[in-house]
Amino acid sequence: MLQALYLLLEGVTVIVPVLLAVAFMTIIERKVLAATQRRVGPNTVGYYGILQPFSDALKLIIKETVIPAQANKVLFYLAPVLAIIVSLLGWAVVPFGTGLALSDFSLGVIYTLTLSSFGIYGVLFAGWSANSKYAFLGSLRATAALISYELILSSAVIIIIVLTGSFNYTQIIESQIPVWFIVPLAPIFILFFIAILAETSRVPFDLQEAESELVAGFFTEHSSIIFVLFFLAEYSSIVLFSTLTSILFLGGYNCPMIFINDTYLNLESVILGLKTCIFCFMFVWFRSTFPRIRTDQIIKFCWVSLLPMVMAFIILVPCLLVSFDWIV
Amino acid sequence: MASLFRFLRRSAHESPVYFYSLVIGFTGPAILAIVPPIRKRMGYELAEAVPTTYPVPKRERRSVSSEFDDPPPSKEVQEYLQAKEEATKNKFSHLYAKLPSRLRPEP
Repeated sequence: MLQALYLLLEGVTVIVPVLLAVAFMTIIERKVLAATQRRVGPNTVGYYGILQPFSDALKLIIKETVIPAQANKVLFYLAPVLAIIVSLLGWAVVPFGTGLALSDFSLGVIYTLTLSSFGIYGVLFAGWSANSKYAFLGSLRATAALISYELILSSAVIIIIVLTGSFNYTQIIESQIPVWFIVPLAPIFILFFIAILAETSRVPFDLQEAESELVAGFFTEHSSIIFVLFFLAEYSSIVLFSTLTSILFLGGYNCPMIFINDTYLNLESVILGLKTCIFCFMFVWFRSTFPRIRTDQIIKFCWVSLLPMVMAFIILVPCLLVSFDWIV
Repeated sequence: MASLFRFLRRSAHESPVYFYSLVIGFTGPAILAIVPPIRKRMGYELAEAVPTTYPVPKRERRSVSSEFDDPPPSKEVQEYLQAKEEATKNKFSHLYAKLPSRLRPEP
């Protein structure tokens, strides 16, 4: 019983800060977008507008839930729940510090890739169950893009796995003590980041949410609390993928020895958070910079441009490792 | 040779993704074919593996006298172990009965 409570407490200790981070990610996005457009942004609710996400959430929750008459109600409700569960489950294997992970799973990378594939079902169910042509088209576009870019994401991760010889995130972090992987694998990092932009359906790959064509994409018919769940899932995925990028390429919680101490102030987690913030900022920066590209261009860009490049690096990196006796 | 160069230059301009992907992709096997013989000729050798255990002596394992570090159990412990064994036998006696006689534990 005590063991179960302890496990529950561990889960809550991770989930609550993650949900807070997701909430503040929305205000960060709005503030950064405002700054890039020379606006003030939200500044009324709370000091500097930092309570705006809670105000938005409250507004959405007290709205009426409208469900289309011909919708498949089970899948209509299941889709957002599936989306949020899948995006939150990814945090189970993230190491926040030395030995600070809910599960230091030996196949953590595979687990993450599997979960990111499962995320497609939420999108597909939402689009199909709503019985709306906009939602359906949005979900089809999203599914095509997600499946395509999944390949690039997995291939980029495979190169890191070859380099470290492990699927475990902690070992991947420990392998980056001499040098962060962003230095030797800079081209792979660029491919990886493009893939995660597409995986999280962010600009310039947010074609399923193309407002001018598809209203709001696969969640056009979702309103109120179920819309909040989609919103949370999207931003949770952004923060999760930013964290994973900092783990895979910026050495995760690795930091100069001067920051490592035996006090209760664990600076490793803070360092990981700061690295994550860099990538979260990049997500917003790209949104404010790039225009959305067409759906056929996105698919073509993946299969015709990114795939040959990532395949070339998949051949090059192991050859270099074997040639210079880094792996025998 | 000049026509090959012109073809490569044209390919690099017309379809840079395929061209540079092929260049990068073929660089790997080329390095694999060229570098190891050069390294071998220059005297590079694999570093000795980092030991992950204490060195094990190359001889047979010496038997350790049980009197020294594994003394016979006291009378109380012996009684306890015997009682435990009997209890186990009684607990599984209905299962033992189903076994063929050659596998059945001695009473």
